[in-house]
Amino acid sequence: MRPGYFEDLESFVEISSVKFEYLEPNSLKEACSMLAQYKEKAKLIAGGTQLIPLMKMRKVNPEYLINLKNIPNLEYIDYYSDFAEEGVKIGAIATLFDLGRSVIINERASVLVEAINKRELRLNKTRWAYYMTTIGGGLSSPDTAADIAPALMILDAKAVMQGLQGWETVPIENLFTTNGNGEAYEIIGEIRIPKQQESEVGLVYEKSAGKNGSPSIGAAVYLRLDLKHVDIEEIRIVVGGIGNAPVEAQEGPAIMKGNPIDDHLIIDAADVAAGEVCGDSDPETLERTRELIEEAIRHAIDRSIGDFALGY
Amino acid sequence: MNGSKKTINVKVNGESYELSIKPKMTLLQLLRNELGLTGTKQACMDNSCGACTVIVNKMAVKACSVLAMQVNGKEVTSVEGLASRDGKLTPLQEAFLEHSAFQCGFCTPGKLMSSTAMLEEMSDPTEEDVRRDMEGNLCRCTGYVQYLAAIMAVVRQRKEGSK
Repeated sequence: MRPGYFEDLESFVEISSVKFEYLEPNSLKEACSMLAQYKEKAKLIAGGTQLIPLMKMRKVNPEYLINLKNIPNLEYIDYYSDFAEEGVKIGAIATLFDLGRSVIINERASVLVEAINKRELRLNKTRWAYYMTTIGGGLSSPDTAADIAPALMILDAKAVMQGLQGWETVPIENLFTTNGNGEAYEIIGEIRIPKQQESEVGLVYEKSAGKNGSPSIGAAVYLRLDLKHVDIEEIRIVVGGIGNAPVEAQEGPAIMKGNPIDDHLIIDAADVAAGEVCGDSDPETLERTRELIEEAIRHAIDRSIGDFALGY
Repeated sequence: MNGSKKTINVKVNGESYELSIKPKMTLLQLLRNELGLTGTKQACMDNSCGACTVIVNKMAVKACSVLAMQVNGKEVTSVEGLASRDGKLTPLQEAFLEHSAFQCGFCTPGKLMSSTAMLEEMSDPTEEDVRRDMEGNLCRCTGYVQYLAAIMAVVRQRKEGSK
């Protein structure tokens, strides 16, 4: 038996050889205070699907673990309507399982369900993480957010952040910028997805699984047609899984916007968009991204035409 | 900071427990070391193999990667809780026996728990659904055929029963 085996075994069996204090705040505001008090020594935990494996590998050794899961009334999925807009609101500790089977989400944000279902194939070889991962936790790191963030970005979703001084609403993409958006020690409290136009719009999430260490890439596409003139009125493309954060392509969609549906334009737009989001990636990733975006655009066109096409 | 013990209330296989535990204890340790339920197996410890799968509030989770604190107030079922108190096996357990769906048997509790949760959730899974769902339960004896047959037999049985 090799020396040190039992020491290894002890830390292997215990989650970590480092002790931590377990804290259970009763509100998000209290959690913010704890986070501000203990700073880098503290980590938030909700589902734990991301943190616990990291703690087991001793890549993360928090001295304080702040459990958000027992904060009451943070698991809701409901409609909201205020003076400015209406849509769907999701409490930060609603799990991906809750979202996947929610009638509201399936009706109003089915592209998010597509992303969740395809995420399952990528990250989790079981339903374990699907059951445990919370939407707030899933968005807390670029890696775990690679699938759900592009879908939320394409839906123009916002995160409602609780800070020490109160709430603020930020676009999803701001969650991945350095230092977040302003105040430190903020915690995601809610995700808001504004109501989408339902007809003549195609919303699609497509996935390409990576093999042999190459990244799994997800592409979300929003496409709105002007059916009177069969022009593409609006198109947005968000790609996740490459680099540190999901990226929204700008130049690729610009090629198609305002133009009729055309095969060459789709190929050109996918080509340019893939170039934009891939940066210095290897040729295999670039090609795979290009194919994925092209497939997602074609699929979005089919969806946006929908019943209109069937009428002919 | 002292990592002091915390109290949790948890229902395991229908019995309620109030336990004082270290926050760093995993659900797997709780089941095996505190409650003596060693049917749940300890293997990879990094949520890769599925040998430690148990059901928490009707959902299959890997007990090695869930803190015991996270199941406070929840209902946990381990493999010991599948059969009824008088020893009557579930249809899935019967099917596993009938199809010899195990070799050394180490992965069997995890497989039973994953498939039980799956059949609870899906009324009529296809073979592909089962294969996909069971991907996280590894068998080092490479026994991947018989358990699939066992699960599909239960699915067929249920279908016939509902006719």
